[in-house]
Amino acid sequence: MMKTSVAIGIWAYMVASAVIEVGLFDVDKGAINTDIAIGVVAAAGAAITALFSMGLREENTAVKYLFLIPVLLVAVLIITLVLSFPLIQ
Amino acid sequence: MDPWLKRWLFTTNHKDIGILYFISALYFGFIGAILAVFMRVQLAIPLNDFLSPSAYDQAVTLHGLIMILWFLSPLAIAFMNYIMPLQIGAKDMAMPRLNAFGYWMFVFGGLTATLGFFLPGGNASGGWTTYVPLSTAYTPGPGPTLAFLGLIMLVVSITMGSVNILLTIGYMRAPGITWRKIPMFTWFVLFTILQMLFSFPSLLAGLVMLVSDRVLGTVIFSLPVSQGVAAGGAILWDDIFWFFGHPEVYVVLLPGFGMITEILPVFSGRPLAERNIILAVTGAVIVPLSYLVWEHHMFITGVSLTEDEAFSVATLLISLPFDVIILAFVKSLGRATIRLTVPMLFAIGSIILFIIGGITGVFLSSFVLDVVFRGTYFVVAHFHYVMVGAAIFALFGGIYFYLPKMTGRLYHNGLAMSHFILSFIGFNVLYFPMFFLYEMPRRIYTYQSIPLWNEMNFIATIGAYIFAGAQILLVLNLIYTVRGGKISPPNPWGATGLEWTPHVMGASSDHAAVPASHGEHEGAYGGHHEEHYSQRPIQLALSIMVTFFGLCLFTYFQRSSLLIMLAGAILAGYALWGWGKDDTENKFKFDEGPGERWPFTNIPKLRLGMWIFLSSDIIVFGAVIATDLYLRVNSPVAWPLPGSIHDVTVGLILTIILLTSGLTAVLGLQAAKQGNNTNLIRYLSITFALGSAFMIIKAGEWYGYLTSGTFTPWGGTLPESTYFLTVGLHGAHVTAGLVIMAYLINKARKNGFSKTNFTGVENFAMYWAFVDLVWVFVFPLFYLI
Repeated sequence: MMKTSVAIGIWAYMVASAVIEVGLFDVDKGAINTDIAIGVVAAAGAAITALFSMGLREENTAVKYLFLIPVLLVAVLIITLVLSFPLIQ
Repeated sequence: MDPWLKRWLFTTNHKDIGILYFISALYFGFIGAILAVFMRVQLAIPLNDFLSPSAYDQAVTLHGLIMILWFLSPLAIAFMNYIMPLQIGAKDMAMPRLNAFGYWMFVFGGLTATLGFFLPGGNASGGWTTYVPLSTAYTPGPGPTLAFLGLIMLVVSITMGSVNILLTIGYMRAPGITWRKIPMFTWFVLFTILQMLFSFPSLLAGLVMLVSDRVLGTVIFSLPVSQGVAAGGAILWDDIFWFFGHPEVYVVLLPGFGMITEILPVFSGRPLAERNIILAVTGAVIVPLSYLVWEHHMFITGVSLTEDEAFSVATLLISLPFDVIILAFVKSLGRATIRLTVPMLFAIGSIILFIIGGITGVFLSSFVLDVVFRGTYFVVAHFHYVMVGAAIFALFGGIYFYLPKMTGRLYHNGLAMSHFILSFIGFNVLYFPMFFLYEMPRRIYTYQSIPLWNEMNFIATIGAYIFAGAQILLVLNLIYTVRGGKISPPNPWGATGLEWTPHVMGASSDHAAVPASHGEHEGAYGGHHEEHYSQRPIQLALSIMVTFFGLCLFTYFQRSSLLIMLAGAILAGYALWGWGKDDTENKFKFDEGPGERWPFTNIPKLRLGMWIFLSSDIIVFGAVIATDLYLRVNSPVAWPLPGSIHDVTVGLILTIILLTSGLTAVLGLQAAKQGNNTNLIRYLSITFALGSAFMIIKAGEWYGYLTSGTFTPWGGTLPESTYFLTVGLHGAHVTAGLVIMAYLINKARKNGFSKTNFTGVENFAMYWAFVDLVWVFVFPLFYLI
C-alpha cells in the first residue's frame, strides 16, 4: 500500500510538472524545442502516474508487460503515421 | 415469463451463450452468404443489371463486414465459450454477466448494422474497409452511420469478450491444468485474444472519429481536397483501420488452426507433431508480428519507400511461422492411421486451401508485385482461400467434431460427407478462377465483355451456387442431429481432451479436480439455475442500440433523435442500477478457482481484468492522439498558435483539479484497505466533487466556444475537430468514472467494503489514475503545443 506521504509527493510532483509545462510554454510558445521539452515532461508525468498512482510498480512482471505492449504499439503507430508521407509533403 | 424464453434471454451460462453465439453466427453467415450470391449473380455475365451499382456496393460492403465480424469470429467465439472452459476445467467464464453482455452487444450490433438496408439511402457502401472519403462525403444518409455504430457495438463486445476470456484462461483453470497442459485449442484462443485485445481498439477509435465526422460535423477524415489533406484523411483511415485489419486476419484464422490441432491427433491416431514448436512460433512470432505488417495493405497509396520496405520484410517474415505450422500438420499425418471422418476431411481440406491462400499471399508481400495485384480479383481469391478456405473449413470441422458433445447426438454422416465434398468442390470452382482475373478490378458492379473475364466469372458464379447450396446441407444436418440424431456415446471419437471426459472425473492422472461444468449434472454454478439469470446484459445492450439509433438520426431530426437517445440513456441507467444492485447484494459473487494462476499470482481476478481493459484503452487513446499528431504534421494550413484559442489558465486549473482528484482516489483506496469506511466515503465524495468540478468547468469552456460560434466541432477545421473529439472522449471517460464513483459511494454507505474486500475501490482508483494519465497528454497537446 502506498504511503500517504508518497501519494502526496507524487501529487505535488505532478502539479509541479503541469506548472513547469506552462512555464516552458510562457518562455517560448510554439517553438519546436519548447514543444519537445513539454512532451518530455508530460511523458515523465505519465510514467510516474502509471507506476505509482496506478500501482504498476507493485505489480508483477506479466502485468507490466501487459501495460507496456500497447504503449509500444502506439509508438509504432505514431512513428509510422508521422513518417508515412514524404511524397505528399 | 416462459422458462424457455427466460433461459435464452437472461442466461449467463457459458454453454448457453456458446450455443447462442453459434446460432447467431450461422444466422449472420446466412445473410452474408445471400449477399455474396447476389454479387456473384450480378457478375456472372458482363453488363448485367441484376443489381444497381448502389445495391452492389452495399452488398459488397455488408457481405465483408458480416462475414468477417459477425460470422467468422463469432463462430470461433461460440467454441471459445462452449468448449474452452470445458477444456481447462473452468466452472464458467470468469465474468458470466459480462459474457452475456458481450453476446447481446454482438447481436444488437449486427441488427443495427443491417438495419441500414431499410433506411432511405440504403446501407454502407464504401467496402468492408469503410475507406474514406467513400464512407464520409460519398455515402451520406443514416444507414451507413447506423452500420458504423453497429460496428462500434461489436468492438465493445469483442473487447469485453477478450478481457473475459483472458481472465478465464488465467484464473479459472482446474487444479492440475498448468500452462504446459493447456489444450492446443485453448492456446490458440489465447493467441487470438492477444491479437483482438490490442487491434480492435484501433478500429473503435477510428469508428468513433468516423461517426463524429458523419454526425457531429467534424472533419478528421473529411476535409475537402481544396484544403490539401484529403489524401491525408484517406491514408489516416487506412493506417487506423489496417492496424486493426491485419491482425484481424489472424484473429479469424488462428481459432481454425486451434481446431485443426484438436482434430488431427484424434483421427490420425498419433500425437500432434512439434506441438511446442507450433506454440512457440505462433506465440513468439505470429502474434507480435501480426501488429507490424499492416501497411502492406497500403503499398500503392504513396507512403514512403522506407516504410514499404520495412513492412514488406515483416510480411515476408510472418509467412515463415505459418510454413512451420503447416509442415507440422503434414508431419502429424505421416505414418498415421488416418480415419477419414468428416471433421478430419474438413481439417485436411482447410490445410490444403491454406497452402494455396498462403502461397499467393507471399506474392502480395512484395510491394513490386503488389502494384500489379492490389485491387484485383487475385487479392479476392487470396484472402478468401485464407479466411474462408482455411478458417471456415477448420471451424466446420470443429462443428462436426464437437456436435456430439454439444447435442449428445450423432450427426448424419451422409449429409455431412456431402456437405464436405460439395463445399470443397464449390469453394474451388468459386475462387480458383479468380486467380486468373488478376487484371480485373475488384469492387466494380459490372464489366465489359472481355475474353477470359467472361468465362472465369461465369464459372465462379456456378461455384458460388454449389458452395452456398452445400451450406443448406449443414443446416439440415444440424436440425436432423438435434431432432432425430442417434444418441452419441460420451466420447464418440475416442478423444483424450478434458472436455470429452464424462462428468465424473478422476480417471486422468493429469487433472486432480472435478470440473463443475462437465456433463449433464452441472455444479451449483454451471447449471441453468434461475439465480444465475440476469436481465441486465440484454437491457444494457438494448439501451445502447436505442441510443445509437437516436444518434444516427441526429443530423436529420434533432428533437426526435434527442428523445430517442434520452430513452436509451434512461434504459441504460436502469440496467446499470440493476447491475450495481446485483453486485451490492453479491448475487453473482463466486469464489475463484484453486488452480494455478501463474503468471498472475497474487492479483485478484477483477484487478487483472481492469489492467487488461486499460491496456486496450491505451490503444484507443493512442490511436486518437496519433491521429492528432499526424494531422498536425501533415496539415498544410497553419495550426493556431498555442494559447490563442484555449485559455492556458483554465487548462492548468482543470489539470490541478483532476490531479487532486487522483490523490483523493488513492487516499480513498488506502482508507478502504485499512477498513476505515468513514474516510473511504469522505475521500470518494471529494473525488466525486472534484471530478464533477472538472466536468462543469469543461462544460463551461465548451459552452463559451459553442456560443461564440468561432470554435465548434462542426467548424470545418482540423484544430476544432481534433480538440472536441479528443477532449470529448476523455470527458466521456471522466463521466463513466463519476457513474462508477456514485455506485461505490452508495456501496460504501451500505458497508459494502472491508479490509479484505476492496477490489471495486482499487479498480476505480486505477481507472481514475488512467484518466489522469491521459489528461497529462491531452492538456499540453491542446493548450500548450
